[in-house]
Amino acid sequence: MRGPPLSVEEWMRHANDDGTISRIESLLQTIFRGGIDHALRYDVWKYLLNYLPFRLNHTEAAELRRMKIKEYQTLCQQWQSFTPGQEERFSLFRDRKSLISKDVNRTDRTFEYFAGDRNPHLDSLNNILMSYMMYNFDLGYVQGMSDLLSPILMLMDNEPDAFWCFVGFMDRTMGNFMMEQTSMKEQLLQLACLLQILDPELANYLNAHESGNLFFCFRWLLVLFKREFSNEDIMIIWEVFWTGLPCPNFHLLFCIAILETEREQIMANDNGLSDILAHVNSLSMNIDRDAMLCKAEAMYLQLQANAEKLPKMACLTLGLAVSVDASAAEQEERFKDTHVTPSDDEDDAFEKAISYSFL
Amino acid sequence: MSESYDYLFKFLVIGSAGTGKSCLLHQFIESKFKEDSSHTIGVEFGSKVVPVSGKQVKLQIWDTAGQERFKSVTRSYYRGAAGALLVYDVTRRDSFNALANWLADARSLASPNIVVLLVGNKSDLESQREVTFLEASRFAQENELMFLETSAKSGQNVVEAFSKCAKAIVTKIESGELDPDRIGSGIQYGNLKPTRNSASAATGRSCPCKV
Repeated sequence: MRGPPLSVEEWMRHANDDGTISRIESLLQTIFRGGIDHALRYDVWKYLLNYLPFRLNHTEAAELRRMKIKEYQTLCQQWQSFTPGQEERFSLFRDRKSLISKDVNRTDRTFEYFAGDRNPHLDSLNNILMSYMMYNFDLGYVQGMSDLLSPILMLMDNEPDAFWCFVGFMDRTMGNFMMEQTSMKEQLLQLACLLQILDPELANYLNAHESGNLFFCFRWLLVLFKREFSNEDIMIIWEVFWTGLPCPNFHLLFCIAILETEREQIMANDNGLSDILAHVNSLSMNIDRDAMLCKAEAMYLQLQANAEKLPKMACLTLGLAVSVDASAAEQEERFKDTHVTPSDDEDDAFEKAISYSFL
Repeated sequence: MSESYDYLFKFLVIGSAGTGKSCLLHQFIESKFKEDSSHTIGVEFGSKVVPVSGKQVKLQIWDTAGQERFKSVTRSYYRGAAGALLVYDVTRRDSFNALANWLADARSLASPNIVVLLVGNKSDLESQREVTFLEASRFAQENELMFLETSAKSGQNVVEAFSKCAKAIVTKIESGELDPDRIGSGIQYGNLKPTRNSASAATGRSCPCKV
């Protein structure tokens, strides 16, 4: 079900002589199916992360990049030119600077690229995060951002390009880091709603074991599985997510694919809050990337085929047309009220209707 | 195969970012320093059975992310904790200044009776010290906390910190000051030689005359 990565040959067929990129949809399809050949990532990520628009020709792209490099330098100069006294009177800046420096020193240090003392790549990580703080001072620096930046910097291997790719990534995921954590809470609710549909037994189990809020998925969502996969895997997973295919919030279905795979383990031995969290955290580096992507897509296709029976929240989450079907609306209300599965016959039928098999 | 223990205590490790909370937990459980340790995202979990005052006590330890931003999530794990290590970094004044806030959270969200041990971590970095032992002792005294300086790196006082906190809880149970049967006490009985209290608790629930 997964395909080969976007190859140099195929990329060349999309790249016109003037530098513009055409047939974007089929390009994204290929990336969704199989990711990107590593040799192409340096170029293609700039497009996927909205640093370079697909429609620019060679001259325009070069000009844009020149301007962006200059803008990055300006941002760098801003934080580098704080006087000690100024910093002394600016606690918000000082706190962020100090946290960035702490986290830079403990981000992916097991990777050769960041290993060892006085590694210049740590300076780059620091410079980009400091500059991003100036670029988006309202958001500043929040833990987790260095995880998102690290693979980008390793790939780009230069500060300005890595910075602007990171900006593009943050534009998509900024909500995760906002003050009140509303986006994180919303995603956890959407996740609970989808889980209730796709695996009501597991959802009910979690509800009955103090885990219905799915907080144990927090790390997965916050840094988009960065802590759960190898660098090679995470690059492919992010590329797939960045295509926006096959639906919005595909990462939530990816979460459910993992939970679904682990359901027996999660529900074993009457596991409670702590055992569930410990088990979920222990999955790190032991999750089958392609199997989960396939499973998540299969779930989407099943939901799409039964869209008219889905609660409104699920449709909105996955970009499916909202059904006007009264029973679906009623289902939604009950979900909101009780947050546990309704269990009368009608709903059993509903569950059967959308139960799926992958093999 | 399940472990044997008399009591199970829910513990928290809280304090500002970068004070070494995860390294303390790792040193306690694995007896070694975790090089290249990443900052915690969300909450992590570890457990270990330790001997305390002749009892086997299983500590169920919740290690939380330190950045203020994530408090709304990490705080949901505070509920019903029996003990907490409140950690600051002896080389960072700001982590010491933040203690009062962390303590207020622990007491209001976990339990007013939570037994808290103040931990001044990174005691191996003597040359960079910004917080003296004396002023931290004073803070501990004023706030009725136990206090130890530790080094997650060398292992100094790490086991002692967890054990001392656990011991204080056992003492309070034995003196009757803490009631393990109270809901949200953060204490459960284990599978070893049930004590008089646990035996009466087990029958108490089904005994109509006690309701």
